[in-house]
Amino acid sequence: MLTPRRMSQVLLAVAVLLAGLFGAVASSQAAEPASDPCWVSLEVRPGEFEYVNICPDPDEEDGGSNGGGGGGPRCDLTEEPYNEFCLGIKACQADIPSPLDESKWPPEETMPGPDYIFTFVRCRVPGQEELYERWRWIKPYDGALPELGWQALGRLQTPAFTMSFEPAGMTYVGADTRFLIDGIGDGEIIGSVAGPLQATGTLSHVEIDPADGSPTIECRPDLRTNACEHVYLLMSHEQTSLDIDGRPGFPAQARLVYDVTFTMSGAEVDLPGVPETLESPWNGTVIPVGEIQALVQNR
Amino acid sequence: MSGSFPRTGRRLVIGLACITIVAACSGDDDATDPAAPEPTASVSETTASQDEEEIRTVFERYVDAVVEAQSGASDDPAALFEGLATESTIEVNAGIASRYAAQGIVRVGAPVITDVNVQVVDRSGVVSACMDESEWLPQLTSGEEIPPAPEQLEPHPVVYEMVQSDGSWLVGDPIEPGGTITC
Repeated sequence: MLTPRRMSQVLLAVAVLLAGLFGAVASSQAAEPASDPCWVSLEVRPGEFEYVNICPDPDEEDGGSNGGGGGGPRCDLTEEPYNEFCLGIKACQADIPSPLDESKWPPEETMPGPDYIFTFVRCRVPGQEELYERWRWIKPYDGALPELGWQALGRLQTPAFTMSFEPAGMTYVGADTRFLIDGIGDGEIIGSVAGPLQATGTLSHVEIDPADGSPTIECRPDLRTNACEHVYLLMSHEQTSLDIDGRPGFPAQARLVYDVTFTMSGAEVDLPGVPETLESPWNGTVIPVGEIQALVQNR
Repeated sequence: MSGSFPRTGRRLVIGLACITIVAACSGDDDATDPAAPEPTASVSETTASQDEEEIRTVFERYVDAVVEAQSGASDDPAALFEGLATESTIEVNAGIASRYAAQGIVRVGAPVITDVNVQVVDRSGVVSACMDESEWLPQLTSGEEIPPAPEQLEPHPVVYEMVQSDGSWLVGDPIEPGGTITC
């Protein structure tokens, strides 16, 4: 019976064979000696190359990389830290996320299946004192996904935005002050892929701190039609922050709060322990607040 | 953390050294660029040139150690790097050598190193060179050859941070040449 895994191995073997044939035809006059398709040369550190065997060992033929094959794990997962997953009969621990940048990974066609990552693994081999340490394609076991989730989260970038207010320049005690945020785009941010995971952020709301001691305001993202409003009850003449014209004002600030979802092969996954929201850094503006009467006297 | 030299300071120094190396290596004829930083005058010229000479020697011996470690001739590859490299660099090299030994792979010959360039600023240094690995090929003990990456078959840049420890220079971590050094 051809299981999907077996099928992909067969396809890989055929691809490798065809590639080998084409290679042989293309360089027939060079008469190169046979080369083993399992071996590749990888730049493991800047300028430093290592020859790496990327094929599974014979003992791994059925179990698959994540020990997820039928019949449960085939290795002894009781000794820390080699208790993460099985590679055949080997009990292993992997560097997750991979220390190797994805641009340095072996060609994608050597990937045994979707959702694999290429990383460094250390394993205990039964009856052997020495550790088995190799660069390998592995399918991250379930427990590793949160780590990759953190990596994917780190690849989400919140946009640079600016904050302004109306009435522009200066507002007044008792008046409605509107906060405006520019630069939030369509409210969706998409991170680059981290191994099998990708994070997407959808703007949930904007938090605004008016800086007059009152609580933070939460606003709806569609600020053009639903600007956040606040009524200052104090003048700002005693504030130490100065606006561009040198007037003392409240250092109001805002940040964007995103709901984050993670997807693997297009399907949403739940990652325990990884934050489901992402906040942008605070960014603000100084808001001078005057009193109407005082303004009249000054004129 | 190595020594008392602040890390950011060291990075800055390495950065400056890189810039000067890049200027020297890439062969731009803009040699009189006023913005190019000169090594600081806090080190006397004699010491600086001594340091440079030492770094060259250490780097040369380091490359020899890498070649020997990967040739399969040594039972204790880590020992080859004693006094030549930092712990993390020794660990990486010993790891590669032991993986090669376990999988029956040896590298035959040696790389050709050219254009060695050294920059020293105070207690930090950077060495850059061009490495051609076309005469340093891997072989499986089964006799099969392994195809090197195309970059390895022509001179490609290698850049290392050099770290001073107990009065001697050690090869530290490699630095991304960033495509600015041409070989």
